[in-house]
Formats: sequence, structure tokens, C-alpha cells
Amino acid sequence: MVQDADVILSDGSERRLSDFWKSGRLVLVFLRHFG
Amino acid sequence: MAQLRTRRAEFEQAGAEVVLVGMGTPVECAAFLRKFEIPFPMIADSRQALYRQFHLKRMSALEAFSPTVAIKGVGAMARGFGIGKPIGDILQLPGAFVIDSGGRTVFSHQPSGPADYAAPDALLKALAGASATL
Repeated sequence: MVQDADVILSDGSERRLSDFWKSGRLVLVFLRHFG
Repeated sequence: MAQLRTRRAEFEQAGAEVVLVGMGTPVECAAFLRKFEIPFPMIADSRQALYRQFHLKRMSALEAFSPTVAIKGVGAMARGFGIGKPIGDILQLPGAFVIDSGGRTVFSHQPSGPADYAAPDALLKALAGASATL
């Protein structure tokens, strides 16, 4: 099981990570640095 | 990233949501999404807490400045990425995970190098496999 966590989205809103998979499956893509 | 964007409909048809994780602040991540017209939600993980939670590796400084990485970096710059001051840990490697609706990881991609992103085909195949076992 993936450990749940509080996350902050780019719009500043706060969510639980589990909110994303509870509504369906989640593809979580981690990026490298950007700029 | 461009491949994920162009194949967005396929992920939606598979009942999956693509969510990005970046090492910037919310403002920096929002600017990145706007600049490259990326249609996915993005988690702003400036402290890299999720990177650590998912056990994503960091390169050594030797790997970061190897000729292979330099060549790939030039290619990324030619495509409009990576120009300007880098936001985030330049040694941090990327990664991708498919998580089912029960919170279980059904696919993970731990890269061999900085430009080794999971191919959309591999992610979609994992989603199809997860569907078959539900």
C-alpha cells in the first residue's frame, strides 16, 4: 500500500494523495528539475 | 512529457488520472504548466518528501556531469526545456508509478539515468494489466 500524505498542488490547494486514487487509478510521474 | 500530453485521452479512457510531481513551489510549478501548456495536475514537492517516500534515487555528481548526461541536456534545451535557472535538485532522478484504486502500486519505473522516463506505452500496459486483475 502506498503511504498516504498531504500534498500541495500547483494552484496552492491542499489534498491527500489518496484523493487521486480513490476516484480512479493514478499515474504519478515524478519530474527531474525544470526551469 | 510531450508524449504523455498527446496521449492524454488514452489515459482517460483507461480510467486513470496523470498527476505530475515537481520539485518547485506551487508558483514555480504553475508557471511550468503554463509555459509548456501541460494539462495535468501537478504536486509541488519543493522539499522532495514524495521523492523520498517513493525511494527515488539521486545521481552522484560524477553521473550528473558525465558526457552522456550533457548530450541529453543539450537535446532537452533544443526542445525548449532546461533553459534558465534549474528549479529543484539537479541530482534527483525522475520516476513513475501506477497506483490502483485500492492504493496499491501496480507498476513502478525506477530510472537508470536522468533521461530515462517511463514510456507511455509501458504505463498504459500497466493500466491494462491492472484492469484485467480487478
